[in-house]
Amino acid sequence: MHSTGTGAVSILAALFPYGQYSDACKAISTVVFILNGLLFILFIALTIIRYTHHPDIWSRMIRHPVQSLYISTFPMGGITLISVGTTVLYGHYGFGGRGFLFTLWGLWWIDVAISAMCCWGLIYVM
Amino acid sequence: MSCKRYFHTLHATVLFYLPGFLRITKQSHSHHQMTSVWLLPVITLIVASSAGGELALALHPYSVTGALTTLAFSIFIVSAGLTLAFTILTVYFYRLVLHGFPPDGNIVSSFMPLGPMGQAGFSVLIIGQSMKEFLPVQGSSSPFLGSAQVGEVIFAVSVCIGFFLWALATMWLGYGLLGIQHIVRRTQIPFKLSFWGMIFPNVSCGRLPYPASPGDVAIYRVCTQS
Repeated sequence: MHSTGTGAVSILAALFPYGQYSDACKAISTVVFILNGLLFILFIALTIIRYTHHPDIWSRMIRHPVQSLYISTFPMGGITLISVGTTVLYGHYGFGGRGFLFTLWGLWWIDVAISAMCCWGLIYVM
Repeated sequence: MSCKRYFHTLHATVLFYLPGFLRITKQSHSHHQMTSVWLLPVITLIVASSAGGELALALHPYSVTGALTTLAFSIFIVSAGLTLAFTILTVYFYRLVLHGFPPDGNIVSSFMPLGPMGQAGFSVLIIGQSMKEFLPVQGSSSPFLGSAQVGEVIFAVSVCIGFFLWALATMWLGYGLLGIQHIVRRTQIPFKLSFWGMIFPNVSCGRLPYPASPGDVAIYRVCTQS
């Protein structure tokens, strides 16, 4: 069930920037982006705590035909952060410059690796 | 005699392969319980590729090689993800025909097919736009990357593929709406956590036309910018 809320809020953040990039839309997008980032970190922390305290849940979850599929919402939540970071924060506000863009790029490669693991791994387990 | 040998061979084959097969399938599934939630693992690749196109456009001034590598990866993962999504949608369609719409609260997952179609369309359009900007690569002797026409051709093709995927997304939107009205008329759907799953696919569908700047490709403006 983890990262479901993250996904929803991330999606809202991704939705807002496409309003012709007016100042108001960019501001709303940035606010939701920050909220989304905080929630994303919070849910990652909660998930880590959950599985370190109860390691047996992991194997039960991975065998569940429906619950296991929701792991894939984790890389999707990350991608919405990267996407808004690239287009709104870097593209329109010029935030962070070259270093910020290359950080996002590095995070994207990690996300692609996790996505590939979800795609091939989860289908394999199914 | 030979019949007995065949039986032994068959027996050995089954014993040899069955444990491996069981290891691959750790979960048990049945067709009437199948929903479009099966799409979730393969959508991740498509979603990752859409951000890859945006990153490639932003990276281009700093590193041409980096931008092109990112773009190549994006094309690879959107192809893999979309192909898997099509096969899963075939199974989902078969499920709809045989067992009807998913009952109760599961019906909110009927919008899920919009996700791969919309995201892949967005991704393909942004790949086309990037290719138009990046090609021809300065000083490249490659007949593909150095050609003056390849970028324009890829842009035109990607606009066509984008429209094709937009049309499919619209078709699945129709089935989703039909499914919702079918279930809501018969039962009450409790408002649950699963409702968040409706947001992302619809957002994906709505953002599809944005990369191709609406002035260039007016058809998308007519179709979705309401």
